[in-house]
Parts: sequence; structure tokens; C-alpha cells
Amino acid sequence: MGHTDTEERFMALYDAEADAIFRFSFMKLRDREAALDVTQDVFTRMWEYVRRGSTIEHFRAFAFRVARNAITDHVKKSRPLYEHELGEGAEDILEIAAPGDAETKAELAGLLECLSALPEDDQELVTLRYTEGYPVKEIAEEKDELPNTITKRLARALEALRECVGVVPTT
Amino acid sequence: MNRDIEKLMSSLKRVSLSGPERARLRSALRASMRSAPATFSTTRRPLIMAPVAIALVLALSTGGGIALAAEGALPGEPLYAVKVNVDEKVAGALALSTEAKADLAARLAEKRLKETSELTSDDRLTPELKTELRGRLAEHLEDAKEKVSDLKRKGRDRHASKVEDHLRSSFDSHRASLDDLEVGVSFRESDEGVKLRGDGSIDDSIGDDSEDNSRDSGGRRGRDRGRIEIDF
Repeated sequence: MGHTDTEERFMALYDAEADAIFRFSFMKLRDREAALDVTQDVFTRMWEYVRRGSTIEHFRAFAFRVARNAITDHVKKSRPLYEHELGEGAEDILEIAAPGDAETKAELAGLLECLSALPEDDQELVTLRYTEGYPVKEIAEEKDELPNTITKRLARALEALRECVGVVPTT
Repeated sequence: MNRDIEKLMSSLKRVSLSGPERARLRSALRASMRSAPATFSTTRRPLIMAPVAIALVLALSTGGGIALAAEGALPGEPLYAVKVNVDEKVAGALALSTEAKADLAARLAEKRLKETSELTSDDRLTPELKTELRGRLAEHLEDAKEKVSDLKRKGRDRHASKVEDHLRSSFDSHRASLDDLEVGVSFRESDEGVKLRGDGSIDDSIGDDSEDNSRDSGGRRGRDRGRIEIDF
């Protein structure tokens, strides 16, 4: 059975964005299985939106919005993690981020907790800029904001994270 | 902790789906596509739309006149592009607080439902316009849902309820349009899991397991096929 051009183009978008959605979901849920569930949910919903020809202006931005909502739904149905608790598969993920470095892994775990305390919009901004590496200009365009506004919000978010984790900023 | 926050955040970029995980999700997505295949070929139409430059130039060159005239435009009419890509974008940029963003999302969702009603009354709701409205409505509802959640997280429950009431009222007034666009909405009344359906009747299934028990081969829950379902 052949696949339509719509399906192939959608699968290309999945290939391009699935890792970012998975990472974002894990950073908020700190549970690998939950992050996988959310990732599948996001793309299944996105397919439902596009399969009949609906156009989406910024696929990635919309995917992140759908992800935030899917995470909210997941959290409503699940037991919330206790302070310092990590969910299933989280240790493996931290090992990938900081192989063999117990100190950095602990710092990452603390950072993720602090990240979850930020306003939702700022969590996403920090993730898009510093984990995914998207330029400020691109983020601003997707969010219909001025680049300067995004820069200021990032600076405030970083400051809040430093205060939470107890980092002395280097200049 | 002395490590740079930015470097720590960037280290997480190494995290990705494993090969088997990626393949499993891909397979599940393909299964979803087979059970709910594309009904629209996008060979000549982008999945992702670039901003409408012509509409923007038109709006800027004529001052506020065109933007005002666009307010009543319906999908398929020339000024509709100005309405959604200029007027509503400007409104979005001006909505700074979470309350304002939530209010706007609810108003935009209501607009899409009204447009659907008007087109249906004039017998002008073509399949293409239906898909366009469906996509836009879904975006506004996801946006509204996100903002309502944000308000509740911030303890602004009163405003969250106000937005939900606005949405309920829109859905009550435009039930036929929701059905035409195949969009379902439900509201969670309490943490015990009692939900009101969009028509006001109670969905008394309690907890997670009694809802949508279809699971894919990977054991993950499926979703209703053919309808966009959004739970508040």
C-alpha cells in the first residue's frame, strides 16, 4: 500500500521534531516512559489536525503547545513526583547527558526540579534556547514576540534558575 | 553547584529517542494513519503555512481601513487573510498577561464557531473551508486549554472559571458547528473525574481506565478516530 504525500511529509516532520518533543516531555515529567507516552500522544493529535488538510503556521511551536497540554493531562492522571524523586528511566537519561559523572547528574536532576518551578512559558523558552539551541530570532518569530522581549525573559529565567540551584554566575 | 546553567541545559541535547523507541513510535503513528488516513493531498499545498506577506503589505499600506473592514470577513473571502494574519496577530501581540491571552484564545475559538455557523447558513461551508476552520479552531482550543491550566497553576481560579464559562457558552450556542467540524470538548468538574460533555450531560466514567480503552500494539492508549477531542 502506498502512502500519500501528506503522510510522508508528516512523517518527515515527526523525524525532525520527535526528539525535541521527547526531551521536553522528559524534562517536565522526569520519567522516560511517561515522556514516550506523551510524545506518541502529541504526534497522534498533530496527525489528526493535519490529515484533512488543515494548515499549521508553525509546526514546532504548535507541537510544543500540544505537548504542554498533553503533559498537563498526564500529570492530572498520575501521582506527582516527590521532591528529588526521579521517575522510571530517568537515571538512564541523566547518564546519557552526563556519562559517568555523578556530580553533574545530580546537578542536572536539581536543575530539572528548578526548571519545573518556572512559569510554563519560561520553561519552554529556556528549553528551546539552551537545550534545543534555537536562535532567539527564530523563537521570537514562532511566538509572535519581539526578539528583545525573548532575550529579557530568558535572562530573567536564567537568573531565577541560578537562584534556585545556588549557582554563582561566572562573568 | 558551580556549573554553568546554560551548559547543563545544553547537555540534555544528547538525550534522544533510542532506535527501538523511535521505530516503535513511528510504527504506532503509521498505524494511526492507516486507521485515519489523510483525506487531503498536500502536493500543492504546504502543511506549514508561511505568513501571508501580501495581506500584511495591504494592511500596512492602507492604515487601519482594511483591518477594520476585515473584521466581518469569512473564510474564503479576500479580507479573511487580513483578519486572521493581521488583526488577530496584533491582538495576540497586545495580550500580555495570561488572563488576556486566555480571554483572547476563548474569543478566537468563538469567532471560528460563528464563522462556521454563518457559512453553513449561507450554504458556503465547503470541505476545504471546513478543514481550514477545524485546524484554526483546534489551535485556539489548545491555546485556551494551555492558558486555563496556567491560570489554575497560578491560583487564578476565578479567571480560569470565567474563561471556561465563556467557552461553554460558545459551545452551547454553536453545538452544530462543533459537530460539523468534528471537534469534541469536555470539561473536568472535579478531581474525582466527573466530566461534563460539551452538551452539558455528565460523563460519569470515573478514572482513567473507563475512558477510551483502545490500546495500540505497544500497549499505549489510542484516541477516538476521526474527531479532535480536547479535555479541559
